[in-house]
Order: sequence, then C-alpha cells, then structure tokens
Amino acid sequence: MSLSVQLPTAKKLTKKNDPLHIIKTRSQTHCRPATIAGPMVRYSKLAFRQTCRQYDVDIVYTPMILAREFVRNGHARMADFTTCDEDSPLIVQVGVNNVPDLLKFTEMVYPYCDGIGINCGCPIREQVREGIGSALIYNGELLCDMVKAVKDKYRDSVRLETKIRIHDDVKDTVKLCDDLCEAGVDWITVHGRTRTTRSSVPVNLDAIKFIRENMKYQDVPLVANGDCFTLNDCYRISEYTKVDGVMAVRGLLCNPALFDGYDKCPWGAVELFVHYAMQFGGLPYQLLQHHLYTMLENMGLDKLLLKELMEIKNTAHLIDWLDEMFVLKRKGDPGFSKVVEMPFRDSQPKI
Amino acid sequence: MLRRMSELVSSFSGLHIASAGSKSVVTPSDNADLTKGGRRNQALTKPITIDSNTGEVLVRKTTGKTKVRRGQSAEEYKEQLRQYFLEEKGPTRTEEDALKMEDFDLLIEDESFDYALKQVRQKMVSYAQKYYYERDYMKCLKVSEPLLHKFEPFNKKNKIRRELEELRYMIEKSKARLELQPSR
Ligand SMILES: Cc1cc2nc3c(=O)[nH]c(=O)nc-3n(C[C@H](O)[C@H](O)[C@H](O)COP(=O)(O)O)c2cc1C
Repeated sequence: MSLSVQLPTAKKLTKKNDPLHIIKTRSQTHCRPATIAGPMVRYSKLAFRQTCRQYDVDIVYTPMILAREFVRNGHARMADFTTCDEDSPLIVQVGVNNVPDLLKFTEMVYPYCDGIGINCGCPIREQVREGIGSALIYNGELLCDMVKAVKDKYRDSVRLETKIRIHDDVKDTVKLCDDLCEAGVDWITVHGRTRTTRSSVPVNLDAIKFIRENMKYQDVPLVANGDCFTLNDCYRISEYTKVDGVMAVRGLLCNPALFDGYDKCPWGAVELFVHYAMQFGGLPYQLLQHHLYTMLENMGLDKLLLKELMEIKNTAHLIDWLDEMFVLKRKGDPGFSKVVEMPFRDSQPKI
Repeated sequence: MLRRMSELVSSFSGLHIASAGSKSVVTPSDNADLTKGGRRNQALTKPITIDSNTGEVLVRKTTGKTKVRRGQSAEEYKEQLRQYFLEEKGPTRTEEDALKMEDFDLLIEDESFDYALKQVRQKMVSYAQKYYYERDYMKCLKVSEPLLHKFEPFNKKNKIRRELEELRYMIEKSKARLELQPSR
C-alpha cells in the first residue's frame, strides 16, 4: 500500500524501550523477571497504564483493539487508542483473524508503540466465533501465517508477541509455540489456563514449565501469565516455570503497585490514578468509579463506604467525596503519591 | 449498581463486533459445529480468507449460518491512511498538563464542534473536571458556564441529564467556594 504522504518513521527500539531486550535482560540487570501489566478490555486505558508504570512495571499493554474496526473507522480509532510520550514501553494488543487486516493495523500502529501483541486467549464467545482470541490457538496455521507476514515485512523494526492459552493436551501448546518461533515471533506469553478454564481455577504452572522445558526454541523468551497477585507470586512463578517474565492482570487492577512489593494497594496509587485521569481527561465516569472501587476494596475500605462510592453519579461529586473522606493530595503537594495507608480525615479508620 | 467484572467485560466486548456489511448464508451442515469438543455454543470457527488482498473473510457461526465480513479495498484503506496520518495525526495524544485554558477558549468558539457527540462533550467537560480537581474554581466556573449553555439544547428526552447535573454541581460548588475564599 503506498500513500502520497510521508508515513511517520518507526519508533527506534533501544535498550530502554525494546520489549524483547527488556524481557531477555532483566534477570541479569535487575535479578528478577521482567514485570508486565497485561491487557484488559476497558481497563488498560492510558491513566491506568501510567499509574502502573510508577511501580516497577517494565512493559504495559493496551486493551485488545479489533483490527477490523481500527483500520476502517476513525471513531473506533479515537475510542480505542490514546497515548502520550511517557506511555512506553507499550504493547498494543490486537484482535484479528486475517493477514491483510493485521498488516494494515501494524502499519498504522507501530510508529506509536514498542510492540504489537496478538490476542490468542480471549474466550468471549462473540470473538471466538469470529475466529479471534482463543480460537487462534486451534488455528495455528492462520496464526503463524499472520506472524510470518508481519515479521517478514518488518523484521527487527517491529516486535511481535502472541498471548496464548494452553490446550487440553499441553503437547499441542508446545507444538504451537515451536511453530510460532519458526514463523518469527519475538516472544510468547502463556496464560496457564485452557479456553474453557474459569479464572477462579488456579493457573496451571506445571503446563507453563512443561512448555518451557520442551520447546525446541530455547532462546525465544516466554512470559507466564495467571494468578500473580503479589511480588512473591511473581518470583515464585518465574522460579518454578523458568520463564523470563511474569504478566499480572487482575492483581494490578486492584493493586497497581504489586510489582513494587506492596501486598495491598498503597494510597499513593489512588492519588496517581486520579491525577492521571484528570490530566488526560476523557475517561468515562463508570470506569473511574470502578477503578477506585477495586483499589479501595483491596485496601480494605468498609463495605458501606464502598456502597456510598458506587452511588455517586459524577466525577466532580466523586472528587468531593474523596476529599471529604480522605486527605487526597494533588501533584505539587508535599508527599503526593507517597502515602501508603488510607489517610482518613477523622481519626477513626473506616475499615 | 455494581456489576460483576465478567458481566462488564462481556457487555463491552459486544460493542466492537463488526456487523455492518455482513451477509448471512445458511448452510445445512453447519450445525455439526454445535457440539464440537462437547462444548455447546463453544464451537470454534476457522475464518476462511476469501480475498487475501482485501481481508474479506467467511466466518461460520454456531447458529448454522455463515457470514461474510466485507473486505476493504485498496482505495478505502488509502483513504483511511490519509485520514489517520494527515487529519487525525495518528492516535490521540494527551500529555500531562495538555488541557490548557487557551485551547479551551479556541475549542468553545469552534462552531464545527458537534455537541451531540458524547465523545465531544466528554472531552470538553474534562477541562471543567480538571480545574475542579485542582481546586481552581475560577477557571472551573469559566469553563462550566459556557459548556452548560452548549450542552442544554442537546438534552433531548432528558438523555444527558447527568452531564447537565454535573456541570450545575460544579458551578454551584465553585461559586460557593469562591465566596468563601475570594482570593482564588
Ligand atoms: C477485565 C478483564 C479484561 C481482559 N481483557 C483482556 C484483553 O483485552 N486481552 C487479553 O489478551 N486478555 C484479557 N484478559 C485476560 C487477562 O489478560 C489475563 O490473561 C487473565 O486475567 C489471567 O491473568 P491474571 O490471573 O493475572 O488476571 C482480561 C481479563 C480481565 C479480568
């Protein structure tokens, strides 16, 4: 596809922002696995991503963006992808079921991110029926064709990841991983559940370990995903499975500081999240409210107060409520984002 | 009402599914997919690429229908590239401190802005929310009052009542707080 106007040049991948370099070297440089904030439809928006970045997260994902919509529709683009200079290293995750859509999507997105990830794990029926998400792990041929098409065209100027679930027979997953490596994938994230495993069932770390041990391509990094809720989990998972990186998702939603060693969400994360949400604007109110709910619930806020929070109808009122209940510092206030415990205005903690 | 996360996710995912331009064809043997793997309604579909230039694909539904997802011609894509790279200048970028009064002053004068669009209203009201959060009640008032006038005509069937309530709330509170602290 040629365009009469100049396309923006690719973002340069350096040691600071190349996700593959980061994943491969964190164990030597930081004595820990790479830490990754995984994709969440709806929630992994810019304000949340930037909050996570303040707490020892190496790489952050966008929510899944559907390629078909993105390449055809300006409104979808506006709603699905907002970024900023500090939003790096960033992986833009794509939901896709054919090569041409993926090539177009890549062309449009790669100048603004540090890598692209193909969602091969989404179990939502509507997507699976389209052949998107977890359907792709049963359609290895198409998935590998898509990977190969992008890597053949862009080589090392675009990093490409696949986030897969495991099969009922994990040997099928080993085969898929080897085929993906053959096709040129840069690294693979394995969510240790099958397409039909509920998230309440513990993640299958033995399967991830088995894949790591049995893949032909030992030099292609693996990232383990599933049930990482604390920094201890992160170390435990990487030590057990011998992977290079650990991805957390639900854990970060309620505690964006988990990779920084906080077992409960620190109050500073609430201040940062509200700050970013107000600075960037445009976050739908229900999302703001839901993020605060999950963080405050994680901190152990009293149920009645959580209920009160959910009854608030708009952003301005929510800010007043936070100010009435707590000492909510603004950027520039001494100690902004550094407080750990909930700073109640009256002396009786409501927990 | 608080909804479970799984409900939120599935309701949201529905928003993005392509529907425009899809044709339905019923083929008799498709129902065989229904119980594949013993999981009703969980049958897998392998989309078939009909046209490897345009991305036209055939997806097989568990309901016994197949659907064609229309492709995108080279011209259509070129036009999207033009819009995206030239007009939209890539994805929306919002830096810290980017919501500035000077920009608001220009935007509020912009007659081409369509306040019927929720995204437009959301963007504009972000200025008021930011000043409110920063306790800059003078500026909050300065943006909330004209926005209220702009929004009001679009309150058909009381559909944007909540947005109007928030603007009125900010106006009322800002005025009261300015009276208490006239220096701000
Ligand atoms: C609300 C929500 C939204 C999600 N959205 C996506 C998504 O867009 N793309 C994706 O690959 N996985 C998505 N997932 C799955 C997670 O990325 C992750 O694989 C799963 O939650 C397991 O990790 P965890 O145990 O750390 O939560 C989502 C999960 C949740 C809870």
